[in-house]
Amino acid sequence: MNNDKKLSNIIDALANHEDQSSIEVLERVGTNCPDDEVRRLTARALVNKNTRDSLAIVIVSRGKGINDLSTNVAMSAINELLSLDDKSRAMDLLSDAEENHEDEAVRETARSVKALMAFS
Amino acid sequence: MEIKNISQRIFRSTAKTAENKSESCANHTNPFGVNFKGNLIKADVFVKPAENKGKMWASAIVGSMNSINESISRRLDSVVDFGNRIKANACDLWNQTRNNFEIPMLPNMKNIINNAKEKISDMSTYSVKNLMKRDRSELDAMLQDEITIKLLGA
Repeated sequence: MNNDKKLSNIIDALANHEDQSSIEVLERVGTNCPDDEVRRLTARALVNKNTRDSLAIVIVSRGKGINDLSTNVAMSAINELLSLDDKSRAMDLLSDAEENHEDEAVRETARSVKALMAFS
Repeated sequence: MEIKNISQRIFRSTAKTAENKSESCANHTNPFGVNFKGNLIKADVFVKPAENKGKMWASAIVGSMNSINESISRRLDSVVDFGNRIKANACDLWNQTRNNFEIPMLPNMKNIINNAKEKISDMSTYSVKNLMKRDRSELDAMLQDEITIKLLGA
């Protein structure tokens, strides 16, 4: 089994772990990793977990998830959000970020993604 | 020497030989009085063939039986020789093949088997289902290790 597959499986295992504090590991280790692929895999896992805590990391945090400086990572996170069956939690968080977030860039991104999700 | 003398000498010698022959026959104890190429011919030569017919048949049968046995044993021997030769050739071929391929084949097979075992072990260890059974801190360490490996590899 190659390194990428092992990483992907570990990230998925952390995302689906019964211990809710495993999300903290993904935020601390995964979303701060210098490697784009690890950040992309982490964002995808957090979106698929579809809890308020996991979605907050990819929607509200600066430089992470949809706000990542890497277009590849940001577009991958947006694509995962658009693919969700239940978008209600993500829409709430996007609305909240659009209105209340202190960073203008984060508010703009949240507005754009919310518009995309509304049309999807 | 004249030609006439030569002829007399020849004829005389011939006559002498004929005389000698007749004398040898006359003086011999053999009642038949016959020589054949210097060998004395005995009475049993003159026995009628019909009397010996049974003996001849028996002797012919025994002789043919012997020859049949010999031919059978000769053929059996040749079959056994053929089998032994085939066996020897097969053994030689096997030894040759083993000597030629033993050294390069076995390490490759060991490597293939070890790689397969390692892959199966990895698939079991790193399956999402098995990873989820591990402790969060353990997964934390594993994630950091794999990220380090990835960054060093890149």
